[in-house]
Amino acid sequence: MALEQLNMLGKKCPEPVLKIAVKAPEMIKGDILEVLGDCPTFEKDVRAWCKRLDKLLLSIQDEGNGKKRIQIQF
Amino acid sequence: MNSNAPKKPIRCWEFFKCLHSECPAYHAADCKCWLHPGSCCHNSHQKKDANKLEMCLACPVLQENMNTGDMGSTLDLVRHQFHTYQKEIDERDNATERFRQALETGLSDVIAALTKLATGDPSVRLTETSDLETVRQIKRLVNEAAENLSDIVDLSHEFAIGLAEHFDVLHRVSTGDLSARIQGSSPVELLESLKKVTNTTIESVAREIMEHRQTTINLKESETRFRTFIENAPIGISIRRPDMTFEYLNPTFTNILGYTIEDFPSKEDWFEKAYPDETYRAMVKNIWESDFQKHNGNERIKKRSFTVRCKDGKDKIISFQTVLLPDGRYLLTYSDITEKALSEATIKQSEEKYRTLVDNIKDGVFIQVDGIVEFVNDALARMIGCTTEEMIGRPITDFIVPEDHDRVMDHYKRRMRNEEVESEYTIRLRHKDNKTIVTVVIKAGIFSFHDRLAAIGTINDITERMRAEEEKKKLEKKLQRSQHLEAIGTLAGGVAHDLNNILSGIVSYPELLLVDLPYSSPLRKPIQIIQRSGEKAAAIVQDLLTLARRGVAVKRAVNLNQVITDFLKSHEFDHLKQRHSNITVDTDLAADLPNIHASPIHISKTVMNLLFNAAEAMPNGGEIIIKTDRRYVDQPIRGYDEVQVGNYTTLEISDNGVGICATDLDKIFEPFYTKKKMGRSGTGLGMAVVWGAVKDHQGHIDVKSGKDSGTTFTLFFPVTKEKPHPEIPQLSPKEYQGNGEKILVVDDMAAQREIAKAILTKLGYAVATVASGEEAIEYLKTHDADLLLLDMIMKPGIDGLETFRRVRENNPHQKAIVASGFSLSDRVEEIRKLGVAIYLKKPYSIENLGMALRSELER
Repeated sequence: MALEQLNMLGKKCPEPVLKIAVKAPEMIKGDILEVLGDCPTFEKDVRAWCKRLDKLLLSIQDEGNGKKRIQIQF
Repeated sequence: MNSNAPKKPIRCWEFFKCLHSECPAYHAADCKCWLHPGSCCHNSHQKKDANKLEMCLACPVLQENMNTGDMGSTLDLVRHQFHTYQKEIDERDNATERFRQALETGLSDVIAALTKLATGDPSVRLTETSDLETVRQIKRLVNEAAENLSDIVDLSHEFAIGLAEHFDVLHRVSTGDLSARIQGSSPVELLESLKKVTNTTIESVAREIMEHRQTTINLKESETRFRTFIENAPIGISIRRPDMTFEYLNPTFTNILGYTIEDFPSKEDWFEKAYPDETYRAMVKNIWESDFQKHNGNERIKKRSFTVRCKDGKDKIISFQTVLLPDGRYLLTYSDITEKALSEATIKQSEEKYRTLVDNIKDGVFIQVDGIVEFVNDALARMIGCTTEEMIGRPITDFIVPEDHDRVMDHYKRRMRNEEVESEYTIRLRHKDNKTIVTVVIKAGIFSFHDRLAAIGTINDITERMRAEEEKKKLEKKLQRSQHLEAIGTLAGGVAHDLNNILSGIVSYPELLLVDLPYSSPLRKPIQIIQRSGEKAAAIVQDLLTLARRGVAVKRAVNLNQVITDFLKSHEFDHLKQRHSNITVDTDLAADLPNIHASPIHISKTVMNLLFNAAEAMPNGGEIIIKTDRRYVDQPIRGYDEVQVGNYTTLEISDNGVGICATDLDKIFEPFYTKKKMGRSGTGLGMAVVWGAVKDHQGHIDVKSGKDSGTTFTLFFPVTKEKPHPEIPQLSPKEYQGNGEKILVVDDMAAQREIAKAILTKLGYAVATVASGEEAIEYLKTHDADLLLLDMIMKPGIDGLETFRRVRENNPHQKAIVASGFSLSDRVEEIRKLGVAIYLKKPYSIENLGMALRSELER
């Protein structure tokens, strides 16, 4: 079970979600992808992506100044 | 201002030539127009106070009318005006400050909102409250922009999420997860459509992949089976590359031929080892190449058999079957048919032998199973106008006349039950033309054919034989009738000559006697009875001759209508009408009727006999119709008699009497056959005379009759183009008297010579008589005669024809007439051709002889 990270700071939505989508094939079942983003709709988009693709949203951590750290389990 | 001379104040309306009479200045007592509120200048021109002040101070009226006293009033007015202005300025400053503050607050919110938007957060919304309309309007625009931006962002995010899902699903599919499908629903129509397309495509691909997987599995299984089959096949198998080199040989190949794949590094090795004989090899190669060129892409190439040399040096007959595989390779099978070929050759020889026999046998051969034709030979097919292909497979009853179906099937079933059945029997087959009936004798038996019970038999066409037998019977019948008539004819001919000569005495002498006998003589009546009896006897003799076709028919062109018309005026017809008073006779005679070559006497007799016959058939009275017509018969009519092709004049006599039954119809023309009552009938020769007369005229008879439905006789006489000779005019006794002309009577019978001499002398001729032809010739050498009265049959010397022929040699202009009791027709015809136009039948009357002599002498 691996933990992969993806830094999406400064990237405007929906680019973070598209990056997660591109990253997804590399993930195997049980792997966790941690994504750091500051786009105002970042959280909303990741939530929608997880729901649509049936992925588990493990956590959302607000780190201030609009930055959020989200963990997704595959 | 000039203080020395007070100026007269000027009135403003005068100075400006104002005509506005409503203005307070116009009606004011003083000229201080600038002090009067509501003046025209104040309202229209001065407008606001500050401007009024400025305007009034510059006005020439004020300057002209200003004085000290007025100055104070004016300054008050100015001061008041200043205060007013000051107050307004203060209010404006306050308002400006409030505006600035409101603007600053509003723009601060707007800038914050735009800042958020700029960072990509379209969720920002402003309260649209402000003292400043402009600010409120800007806030509304910001909110609208945020909302629009939010929609666009949401849409782009929806696209992104949808795209991400598609990417994920397609990735899963690409990695083998064929169950992956786009699950989420989207408000975006395009994404929903894309979802359907993607899922359909995945399903299709998944199906194909599954099928492909299954096919691969099947292929592997098939390949395993194929390999197992090939390895264990009872026939030799090879797989050859497109260049025909060997790729694989199965063990059976080696077992049969002894070769292994190492023996054939090239295709030429195969040919050289398998076919060591060069000529044979060349032939095989030619056949191979030809077959390969002809197969035109067909998978299967023609099966061939060749003799192949095995590795151990033995020869085997191998059957080759080549199949072109889809990848261009060839699969060849090798069957060792050495033993089979040898036995087949034996069977083939045997089969050819039997086939030749069956094909060339004259009889038909058939095999039928369960009523269906399994086999027929050409001979049988030809019998009924079919081909063998048209017969095989059809019910056997299709070829048998319906009346014989039951009989054939009964035979068949009884045979199948092994019952005793006649080995051969006659049936009738139906020809393909549905008209001809083929009579055959069938011989059949039950045999095992292809493990089934079948009727196998031969069929012999006996139609011709039956027809020949029928014809033979007819001919025999005809012969019998002919012999019958011949006997009668011989009898009649034998007696006719002598009888007629005898009758001449009975007929002619009474006539001679009557000429000289007074009308009051009591002998007259008995003599007349003797004469009529003689005439009747002569008529009977003539009838006998006619029916025996020995009658002397002197024929000439005759109009049938004329014969009928003459008969209807005759004593015989009068006699008929008296005897059958309850019948009527009508005629329907065709105009322009063609002539016939006929003997009028015989035709007249024929008409008479038919009329009497019709009258006798109507005891209770009725109607007889005599009809004549012309007919062209374009094909033979097979009725009572057979009417041949040709142009005919027909005579039809029909009645509505009792009719003739079928059994009697066959006999009606036989001599002495009669159904008439005794005492009413004639000689029994009437209809026989009709038959004889018609046949003497090369004619034909048809009869149609039915019980109680009347009878119609139709006589066909061949037409002639000859014109009728003018009738010999009826002469009075004085006119046929002779004038001393010399007549030589030639007759072997003394009585005849006497009768002739008596009559001729009575008629005024100079008569000499001789007893034979030879005597006549001798007589004429020293004498002359104006006319010879020649008998035809004179025994034992030459007959009348020969006599006349010899006389003519000496005297080509010698005239003669023939008088005979009986003569053969051909002799009479012969003498007629020599120039003897008149044939006088004995016994003759004085009148007949006299008229004949006059006619010939004056010709």
